[in-house]
Amino acid sequence: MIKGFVTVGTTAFDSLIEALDRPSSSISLTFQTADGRYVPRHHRHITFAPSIMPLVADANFVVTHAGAGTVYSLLEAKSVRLAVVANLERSDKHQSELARYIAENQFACVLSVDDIRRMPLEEVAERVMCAELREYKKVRFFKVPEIVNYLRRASE
Amino acid sequence: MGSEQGERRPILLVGGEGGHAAQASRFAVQIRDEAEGVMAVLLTEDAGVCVPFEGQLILRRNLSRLSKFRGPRALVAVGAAFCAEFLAAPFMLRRLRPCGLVAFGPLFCLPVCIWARVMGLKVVYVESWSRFYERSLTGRAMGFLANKIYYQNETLVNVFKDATYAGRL
Repeated sequence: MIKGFVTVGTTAFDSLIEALDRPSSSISLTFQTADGRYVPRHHRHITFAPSIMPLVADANFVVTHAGAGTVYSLLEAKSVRLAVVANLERSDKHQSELARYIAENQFACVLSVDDIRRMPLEEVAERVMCAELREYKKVRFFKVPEIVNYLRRASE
Repeated sequence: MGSEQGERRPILLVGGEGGHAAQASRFAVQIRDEAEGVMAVLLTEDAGVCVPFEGQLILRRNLSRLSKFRGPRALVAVGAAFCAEFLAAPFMLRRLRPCGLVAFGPLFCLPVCIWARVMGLKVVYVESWSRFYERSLTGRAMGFLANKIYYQNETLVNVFKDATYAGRL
């Protein structure tokens, strides 16, 4: 049985959960649904988790909303087979920027809710687990000392 | 004397929920590792992402959740929350006496930033790490409010003219 974990962070993303909530004899999913209204019928679900990392570690692949906090944490974990889906249900559409960046750099498999609806669940899992990806690298934030000194000097 | 005061006064980090709180939390960890003797106070709506943070944590009402309302209800809910924040912010700043403030968004960080400027404190804004091609709404507002702006993605180099690239948290 292939295990997948689906996380939406702190904001509901019902269309994603609904698109993935299909019966399957070979795939078992765990949904983290936040305060969404849709209640999954075919797979296990939780609303929030103090840390998603134990659930990620237990899964063969992860589908996440394109929230930067979650996406960067999962990319930094290196070994996670990851699909990113921009949450366009939100009033602000900033998740599409991160999804575009991830797609352009091939750091993860980027899908839309419509893509997922069109594919059988098994194909979604295969796309995520077999995608050829590049290693995520970042320039670490290097301005903390400058900012701290600026604020401290200004208050003296 | 002035220098001693500066050392004792904390830096106030303001990050709403989700990714904003995660950025503030990571910044706090870097302060701990890279700026000895500096205390950070984290003002957030989201304790869940702040597990590595060891400094003082102030949890406030979950204001960002109000953004899910639509239409007139949204205006009323957000307006009321903004007013409440605006009234509470000066008292919090007087109690904490920070030496300055670093804001990570979202828009609900504006009341405390406005009061910080009124009280003579410097405000630094770090543009969201999820922005690659255009400024966030908070970033636009902070263009008028913050003393310094930093951005985390090099693709914004032509978007922020007077800001500094800082790498990613």
